[in-house]
Amino acid sequence: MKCTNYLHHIIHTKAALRALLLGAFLCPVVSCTDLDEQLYSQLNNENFLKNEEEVLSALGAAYSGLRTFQKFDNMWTVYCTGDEAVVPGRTGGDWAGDGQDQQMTDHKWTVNNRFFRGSWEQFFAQVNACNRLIYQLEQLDATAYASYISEVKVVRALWYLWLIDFWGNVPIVDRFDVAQDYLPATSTRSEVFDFIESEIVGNLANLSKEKSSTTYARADYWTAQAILAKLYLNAEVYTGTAQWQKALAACNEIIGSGQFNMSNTYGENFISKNENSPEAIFAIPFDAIYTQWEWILPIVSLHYSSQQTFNITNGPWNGLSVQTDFFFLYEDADVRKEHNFLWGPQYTATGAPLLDPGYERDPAVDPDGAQIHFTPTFNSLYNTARQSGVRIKKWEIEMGGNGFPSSDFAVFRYSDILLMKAEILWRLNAADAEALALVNQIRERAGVEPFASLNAERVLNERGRELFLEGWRRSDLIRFGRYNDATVLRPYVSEPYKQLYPIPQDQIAANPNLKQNPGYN
Amino acid sequence: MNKNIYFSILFFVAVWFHAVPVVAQTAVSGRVTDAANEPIGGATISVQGSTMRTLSDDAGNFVLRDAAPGAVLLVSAVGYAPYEATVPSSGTLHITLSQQETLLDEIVVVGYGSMEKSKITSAITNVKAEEFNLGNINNPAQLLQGKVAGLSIVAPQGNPNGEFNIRLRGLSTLGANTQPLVIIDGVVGADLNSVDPNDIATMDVLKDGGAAAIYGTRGSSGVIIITTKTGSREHASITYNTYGAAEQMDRSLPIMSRSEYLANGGTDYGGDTDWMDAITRTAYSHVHNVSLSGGTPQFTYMGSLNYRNINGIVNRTGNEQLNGRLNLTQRAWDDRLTLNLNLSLNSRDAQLGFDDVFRSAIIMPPTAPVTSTDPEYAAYGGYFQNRAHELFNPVAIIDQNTRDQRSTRALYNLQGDLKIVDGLTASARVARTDEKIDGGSYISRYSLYGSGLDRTGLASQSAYQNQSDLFELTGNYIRRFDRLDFNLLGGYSYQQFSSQHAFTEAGNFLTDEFSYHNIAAARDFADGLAKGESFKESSKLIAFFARANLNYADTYFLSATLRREGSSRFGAGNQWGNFVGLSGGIDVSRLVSIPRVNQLKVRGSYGVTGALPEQSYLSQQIYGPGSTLTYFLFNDRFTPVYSPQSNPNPNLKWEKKEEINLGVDVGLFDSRLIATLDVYNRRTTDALIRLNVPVPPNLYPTTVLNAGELRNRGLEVSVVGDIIRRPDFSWQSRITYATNSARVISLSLGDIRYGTRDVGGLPAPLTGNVVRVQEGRPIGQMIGWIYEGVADDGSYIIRDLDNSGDINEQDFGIIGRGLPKGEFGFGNNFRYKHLDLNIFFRGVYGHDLVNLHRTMFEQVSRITTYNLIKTKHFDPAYTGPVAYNSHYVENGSFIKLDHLSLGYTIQLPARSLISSARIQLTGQNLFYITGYSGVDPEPRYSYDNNVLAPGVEPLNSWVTTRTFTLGANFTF
Repeated sequence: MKCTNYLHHIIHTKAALRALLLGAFLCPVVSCTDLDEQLYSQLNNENFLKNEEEVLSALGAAYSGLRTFQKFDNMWTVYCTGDEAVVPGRTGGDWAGDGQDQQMTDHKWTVNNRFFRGSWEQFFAQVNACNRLIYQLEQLDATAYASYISEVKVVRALWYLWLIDFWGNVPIVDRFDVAQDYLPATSTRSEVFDFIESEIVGNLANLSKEKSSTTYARADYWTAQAILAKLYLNAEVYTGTAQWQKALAACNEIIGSGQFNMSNTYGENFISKNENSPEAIFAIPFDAIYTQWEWILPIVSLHYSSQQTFNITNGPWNGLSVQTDFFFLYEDADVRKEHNFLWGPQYTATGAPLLDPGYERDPAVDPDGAQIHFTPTFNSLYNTARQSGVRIKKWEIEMGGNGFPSSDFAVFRYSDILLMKAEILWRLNAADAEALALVNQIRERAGVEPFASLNAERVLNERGRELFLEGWRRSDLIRFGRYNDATVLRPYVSEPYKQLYPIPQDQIAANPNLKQNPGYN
Repeated sequence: MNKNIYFSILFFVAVWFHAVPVVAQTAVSGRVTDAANEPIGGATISVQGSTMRTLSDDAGNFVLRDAAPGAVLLVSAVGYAPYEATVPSSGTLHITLSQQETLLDEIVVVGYGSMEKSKITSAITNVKAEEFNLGNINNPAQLLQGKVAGLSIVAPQGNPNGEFNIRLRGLSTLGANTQPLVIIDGVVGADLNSVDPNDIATMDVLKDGGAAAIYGTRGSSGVIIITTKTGSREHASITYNTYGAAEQMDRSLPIMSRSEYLANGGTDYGGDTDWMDAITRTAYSHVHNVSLSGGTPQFTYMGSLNYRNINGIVNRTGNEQLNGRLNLTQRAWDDRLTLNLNLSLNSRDAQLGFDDVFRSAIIMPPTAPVTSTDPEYAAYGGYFQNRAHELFNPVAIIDQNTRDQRSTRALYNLQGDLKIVDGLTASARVARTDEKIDGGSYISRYSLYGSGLDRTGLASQSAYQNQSDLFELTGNYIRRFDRLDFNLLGGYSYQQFSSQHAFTEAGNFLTDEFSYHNIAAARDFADGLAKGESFKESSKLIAFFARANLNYADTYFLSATLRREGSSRFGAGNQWGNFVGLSGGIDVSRLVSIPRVNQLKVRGSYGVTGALPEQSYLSQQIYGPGSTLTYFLFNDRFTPVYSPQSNPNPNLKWEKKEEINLGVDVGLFDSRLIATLDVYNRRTTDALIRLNVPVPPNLYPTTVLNAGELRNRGLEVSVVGDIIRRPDFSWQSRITYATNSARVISLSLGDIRYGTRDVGGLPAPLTGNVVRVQEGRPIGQMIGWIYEGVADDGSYIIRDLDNSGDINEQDFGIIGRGLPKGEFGFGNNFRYKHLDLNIFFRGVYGHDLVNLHRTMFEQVSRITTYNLIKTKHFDPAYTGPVAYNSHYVENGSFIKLDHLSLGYTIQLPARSLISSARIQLTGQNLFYITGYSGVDPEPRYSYDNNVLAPGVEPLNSWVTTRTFTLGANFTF
């Protein structure tokens, strides 16, 4: 009662009004207009990179980003436009949508192709990630982190090596601190060539030559030399001027170091625990657990039912298969054939015939019934039986695993360098004895008869057989002038301008400074 | 207007309003009449503070015994204002009731206040409890479906746990929230699910910018203001409402029977199963509501408890809810101080089930048995399975797996109003909303579906928590100078939001027995395959606002609003925005006397509202490990990688929507016929959209930018007529009609051009998109090849639009529109004595739907694996693979009988314990008229969460249902 009287009093003296007004006016003063954001689960520029471990975790982005090379879109971009692999449309409609998968193989792609779009975005996202790291490391301490900065520049040069090969004329972006509305312009293929060359040469001195567990899978001196070797090997394609001697010098630098050797068998390069392979010059580490879903080759390639062949815990998608022409490049005795491929009648892990409940009842399409036979041939590119196509098991598919490889993917492998050297020597002198010996060294390990002499066909296809799906077939075909040739699945010669991929229409729309490659309009 | 038409209308209306007089004969102790001395039958006469009551007879006469002189009589009758009279010491009492406040005198909530409908100058629709939709209604949105012109509400088909999709006046925002802002008893941004439909007194929808500008930043998609029931100062009552509902499958897709399947080349798996029948049931639900309310002159209360036990037509789906509410009002100091306290608690246990069962039931071969003793199927727990892409035994999905959700929502709201001097009121509000949603799911070790078999059992648990705290201060000053009324409002609002979630998923269990309740038993934790996630974000909104309303002689009206609002979600320097609203109107009928017209208000409004991005931190460069950790190999160890998580946009700012609304309100025949017409043009600029940006120089291919410009235009009409209003018979009719056209004007920002983009991806094995977004073109234009028939070789004939000889992307034509042209609702209420009938039709027209089921499973070539859909469009001549073209796009226009309800108010003797009782039988979704062959012809406003891709009926769409409800209400 007393309280009520007191409050009554306040109201009559209008003190309440004053208090209220005071409250309202004070409010803006005491942070009632403060709109700062508070972070809980993330870091920003103010609290990131405060210790050595954080710097390392940031540097890791350059390397973890390299795994995107094996991502979904890129597998199509890298493997399907040459003669190695194909994703055919299958009866019942699987993979047979708008035909873009198949257009990779019959060279009928358009500027709206989603695989090229995805690859462009992923490749340049990695270029930018490298630019950002370089910028951040320079801001932190350019001297202390000089070797880190050089490493990242080599990784960036590797992305540009792929960019110059796929699109040729691409923008060179080497800075992170650009204006908000900066729209980079296309550079010519020659300018990109010069950029890669200078980036490698300019950073060689900062790179480690040591081979150890700390330098494994890091962009070291040998990685840089391998990039140079590839760049010079294709110099004629990229710039119009061949640079065989420079290419040879880079190969010799690697071979002469004594740091690398041929492994005893072809297969041990591709097992789960291949990180000690003496052939790996630069590898992208993968692990079935730590990098799950980042390299999905077995899942993309195997038939749905093949899950029971390997008892894997993820269901495969029945997509990527080996092209007919390529499969027949291998002799039966070639250990690489048995190692790389899965063909013929299929069985479960316990040895029972592997069945496809959705097999085609029409014997004209599938003459051998419910058991799956992977055939090297296809009914057609756009509509083929579910069992068509030889499948890929080059990198170990662990029995009972989750279907993702634990093998590391060697971007540069010693046998590749040997074959590159052989090719250069053969190009300089078609009767070069060392060239023949090098090729036969590779053939011997594969269990096939040595060649008596070399020719373009033999050099190109030995590379193909040895380096199946290691990412170089496309540039090899172009260098040998065979990229546009007719194949079983593309029974005609395609236009030479297809040797460069189109710049994605979305990118052209978003950046008017980009220029489309010739032929695409 | 043509004179003949004018007279015909007048004549027609005159017939409607024709009343038959009834002659009074008996002289008793009381008589109830209207102002014209016509008797009123059925009026309730009760004594205040006692349970004594009686009804007047048809002559208006009544006898009430035991009513002592001086006692207060309360008299009420439908259509008339309540009346109080004192019992005289002798003689007969003549009670004259005045007609109830007309529709124009309704009080409309306008945001931080309320006004009489006749004085509103913006587009606001008020819907009262008695106008709400009827039947088995478990979501407040359902109450409004079809009732408000321009407010589109799409139900989640028969899904008892699905969310309603609400759209106001088309699509005015892209990247921000497309659902209207909800305000419950003054608490801004409350969740529609936190209030029980039984507790709602009125819902007001602020449609135009002029009205919504007072809510500034979140008003762009409209505002729905919910006012819950409160206690009365006079009557204490207890009510009990209950109903039971029976729900059955209504529309689904026709599929092949066993014999048809075999005849078309299907494989015989030795069974004969109607899969749709195997997964569905007649679902019975029951709902109970007890509420108590009452009060004294100083204190009123309303308490309510709702129990809902809702079952879905799919086995093992449904939910059980408890919803409690307490609304208290205490007045003090001669009513100068009022304190309002609202507390509400909602707890819901839901069995969500798996939407994919519908797709599976449609495509599982009818020749397949449900279970099999063949040892081949032991691995699947004895259920028949046929491994193929996306093909699962639907009965196994339901029986083997669990997906539960438990949510609790609380709302705390305390408001104090202090009348400082006459006309000046200061108010303060503190409120909190708290929402917790816990999910648990378990996929059996034997389940082919959901990777249960592959992962040897897979459990997951998730927890979401959203909280908002609101503090508001307002001052309101009302003053009248001669014929000028003015009303000033000023205020400050501070609201902070936080949300967090956690998620754990792990598999590889020894047994299914734990379900998701012992997730640590999963081997995945040791094997490194378990997944965990947790996240928290917060944001703030701060606003200062003011409004002035002027009313001169109830003839000229003017209202001006300003809200200055800041959000932490924008870049520094762009945080604050100003939102203005201006509206005015003139009631012409006050200036010029037009026969039978008692109101002719012409009004116009202009208003700016804003929209916020849906997440925080978009303006900053954010680093972290991401939601799943990325590793790189360093020194033989996989080491975490921290990297930028998105492209920052430091220039991020408010999305703004400007809206012009012109309207006319007409009241005829003493407001017994009221018509409202609105036309609007809304233009959204700086629309927030995740736009493709060039890579390089950006790290990621998309950034949230203020890049869009959208335009929505439309017309809305609503007509309400008390066509017949007689003591024993009344008929009220309501019509709403609305059109909308939404267009993308621009999606470019400087050199970053959106160009033409196709969205709405088709499911595998198809690729490509169904909707083309193009600057300057309508939203939702469907693109694709134009079907012209089937060729002799069994392939589709596609129109070669560019005559190139090849069929490719150049031959895509516009083959449909995803958004409707218009929609309407037509409701009628009839009352004859104690019987009442409510019948409501609803329709939407002018939209197309991509029938994805047909697209994917209508081709004979699919029969090797899947059952086929057999609608009127099925054509066995086509033998090619799955392909998409205009053959699969269908017109979705429809009219349906939304509900029909018959009620009976039971006559109770005076002095019975129950003061009123009523029973009601309602049928919902009784029939459709449509040519659409898919599941539900309702428009779909988004596909794959993309609002730019409307018009796709997804493969896992629930079927529609028909429901019959029998309900009863008792008041004590």
